[in-house]
Amino acid sequence: MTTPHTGRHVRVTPAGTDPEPRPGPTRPTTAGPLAPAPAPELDLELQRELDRDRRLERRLPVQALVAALATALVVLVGRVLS
Amino acid sequence: MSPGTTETLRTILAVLLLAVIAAGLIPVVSTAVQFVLVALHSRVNHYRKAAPFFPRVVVLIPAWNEGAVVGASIDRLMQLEYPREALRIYVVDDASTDDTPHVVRDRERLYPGSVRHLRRENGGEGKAHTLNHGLRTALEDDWMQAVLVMDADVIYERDALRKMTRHLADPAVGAVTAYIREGSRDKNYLTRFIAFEYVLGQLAARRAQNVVSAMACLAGGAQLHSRANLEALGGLIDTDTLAEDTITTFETQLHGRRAVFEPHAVVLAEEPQGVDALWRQRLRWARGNLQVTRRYRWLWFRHGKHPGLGRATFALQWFSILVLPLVMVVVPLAFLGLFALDHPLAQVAFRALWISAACLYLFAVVFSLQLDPVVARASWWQALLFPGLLSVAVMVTAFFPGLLEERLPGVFGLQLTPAGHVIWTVVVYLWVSLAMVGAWIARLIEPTRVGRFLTPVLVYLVGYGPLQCAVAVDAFYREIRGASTAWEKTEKIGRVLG
Repeated sequence: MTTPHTGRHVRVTPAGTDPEPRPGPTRPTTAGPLAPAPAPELDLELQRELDRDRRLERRLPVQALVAALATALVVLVGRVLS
Repeated sequence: MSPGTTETLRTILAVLLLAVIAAGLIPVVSTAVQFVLVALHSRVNHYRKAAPFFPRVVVLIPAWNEGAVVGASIDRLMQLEYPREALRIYVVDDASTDDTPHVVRDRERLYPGSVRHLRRENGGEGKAHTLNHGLRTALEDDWMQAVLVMDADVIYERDALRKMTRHLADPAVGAVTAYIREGSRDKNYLTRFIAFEYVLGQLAARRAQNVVSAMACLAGGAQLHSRANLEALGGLIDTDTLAEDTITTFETQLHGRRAVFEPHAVVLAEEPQGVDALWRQRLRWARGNLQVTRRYRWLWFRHGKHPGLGRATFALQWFSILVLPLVMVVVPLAFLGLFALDHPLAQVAFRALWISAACLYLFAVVFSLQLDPVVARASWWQALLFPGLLSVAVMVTAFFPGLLEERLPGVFGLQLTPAGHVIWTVVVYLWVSLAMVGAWIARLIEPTRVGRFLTPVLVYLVGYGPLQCAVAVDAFYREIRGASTAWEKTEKIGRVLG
């Protein structure tokens, strides 16, 4: 199945179908249930945040181009002035 | 010896010297490759496989006499935009003798169930041992799904942890690191240099490492590990070197999991304000890197051993930093030799090397400043003077021969004598080596009355880059000598912006 908030696939084993009964826990367990899934509106906001960060990364080639142009300009101006 | 033989020997020597000078291009090529990879991060990144994800996280804070900073760090962690029920903080108090236990117990009462004080009565073994104490406790309990290892003084921006955990939604990822930004409230010249260094070393370099799927180091103050990854590593981290964070990073990847850098998760850290404190911190890091290089000698340039860490691109990045101090000593000497042998050829080689270095330096500064506008506003001056004011003058000399030594003095009616011209040329050729000596002097005089004023001036003149190279030379020397590898803690007093 797919969890609603992450879209990740998780394996679900129906109760009583485990082929081999496993030994009980050998260490203290305080795990309890998973942290509650964020509310749908928060989930949407988090997804938007992820998309925004991804879009910010898409600016990198433009920033590289700006840097290359600035470098060329400084060298050119230097040559002209000298 | 016949004139023909002499001429042949001179030619062979000139070719050898040119080959040595060409080694000076290694850091230039490496930086160029790195910035191409940074641009590629626009397409080759991990965001496609990331998703909102909130595992139960144990935050592990190793603390030895951190009373001044640990309370504020805990308070800030409790304000993170992360489900409170999915966050626990374990402070591993390494037999502190200050008020650290009091501060942490106070927070235990303030945040019941969220903060835990783990006391080591017999401490002093170093950060790695302290962390292992906390890891053992965290792994004893099934509750923990991920561990965030941090330093007691760092402050996480509210969204930082959730931006890191979203990468753990991909089970192939074993560890995630964040961007450590210099965050002192009272910035000085040195912390501004460090701020720009972190833009270069993290926002640029680690993006490049994301692209080649080979992370050099998860920042010690921001290491998020999945439980599966920690268990695969045996639940403990390395205690034999000064670079436990780098070893953990390598082991994570060698055990088949990815280590990812998240550039938009920001963590503020307090960095040294003095050259001596910086020197001692970086000496530890540099020696750690040498120890890592030796430990993984079977891995370098061997793609078959690991598809990322064994890649030539990664080795180029790693070794170009490692051999830079050597380059800064050997290449100037080769220039000097070539100058004695064939002056015009030396001039051509000198100009070719320095012009390519200058262009790349300009490109790197403009590109990097765009990566973090906050640092750009505060540290643009330090970015421009990163190689040092005098190295910038050397670049100008390479671009415009005669400008500084002939035309500029000519404006004032001055002229260099032939002997003066030779001295000028020798100093220019040797400058990068001399800059490291200047950095060493800056450290030496810092505690004196005159040093308080002269040390910043010297650092601006010789540059922050050469200062780091001088530290690396010291690291080489100490490693060869087999000096003690005792852990030396950098003092933190709580200067980070709250």
